[in-house]
Amino acid sequence: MASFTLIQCESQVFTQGERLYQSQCANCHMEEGQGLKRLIPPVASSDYYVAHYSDLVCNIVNGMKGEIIVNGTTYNEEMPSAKSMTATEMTNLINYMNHKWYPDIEIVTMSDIQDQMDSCLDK
Amino acid sequence: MKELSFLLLLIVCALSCQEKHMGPLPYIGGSEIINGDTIHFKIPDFSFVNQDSQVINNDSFQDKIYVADFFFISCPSICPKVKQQMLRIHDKYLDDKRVKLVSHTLDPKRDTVEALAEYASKIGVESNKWHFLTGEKDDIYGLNEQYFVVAYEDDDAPGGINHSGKIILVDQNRHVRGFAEGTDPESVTEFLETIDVLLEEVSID
Repeated sequence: MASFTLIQCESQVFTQGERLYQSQCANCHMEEGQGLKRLIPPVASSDYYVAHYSDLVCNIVNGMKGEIIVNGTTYNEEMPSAKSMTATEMTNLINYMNHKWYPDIEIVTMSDIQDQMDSCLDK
Repeated sequence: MKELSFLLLLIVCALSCQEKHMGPLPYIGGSEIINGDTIHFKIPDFSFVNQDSQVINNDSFQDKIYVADFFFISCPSICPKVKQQMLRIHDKYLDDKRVKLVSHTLDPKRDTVEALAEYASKIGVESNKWHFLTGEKDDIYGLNEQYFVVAYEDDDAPGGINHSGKIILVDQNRHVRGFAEGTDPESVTEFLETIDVLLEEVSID
């Protein structure tokens, strides 16, 4: 059922995802995902994104605190949590970011995302 | 030889007249006529502390022009974008000693001198070029109005403070001469031209 929905919406997936990115993420990570100097890490072409891809959903849901190293630069700023994001939104957002910056990553399905979100406890 | 110089002068004049004549920049904030003299609005006296714990007041900007904004470190909404645009201004005039930048925090409780120093360092800027100022809350909230920047505490606002992303241009006589919408790259592109016009207009070294 979820995959059927995905196919139905496929032509719109990236539009929705882009809209979500621009309204929820671009304020800090900027329009092209480039981040800002040593203040805000990039989400585009980020070694951290790839290396920690399995944590991506929970990092977005719970937010992030503490030091991380992205492309050789150390960052230490709090990322606000996005607890109100729905599974549909999360799926669209991640598919957009992957499509834009990590085209080798396969499309994610809503059931994948829902499972991951269900497992994100306050870490 | 005299005729040649005159001809050259004519050519130079003709060429420069073809450029867009911008004229003197406006004085923003109203003007009064007192005893026949036009008195333009001025930024009032202020005294704050920057990220190096130096006292910064109006004297710090003698013979300088500066651009100013208001922000706070934990701002989740417009501030990073405004800083990105302020960086354009910073980078363009990096080696021009006549131009300074000033960012006032609207959250002096949390944005201590140390926090501001760390923030400025992460943006990659030096304090003598770009001051990050903190001080008494009452002094900051009030000053923003003088800069025509809306700012007030609001629990419903992102980060708890509702404020505008305007960037203000102040000349060497404390007059407001221009402003940009800091979240809009095109507005800042125009603003950079305005700054160039001001630099030509004023005679400071």
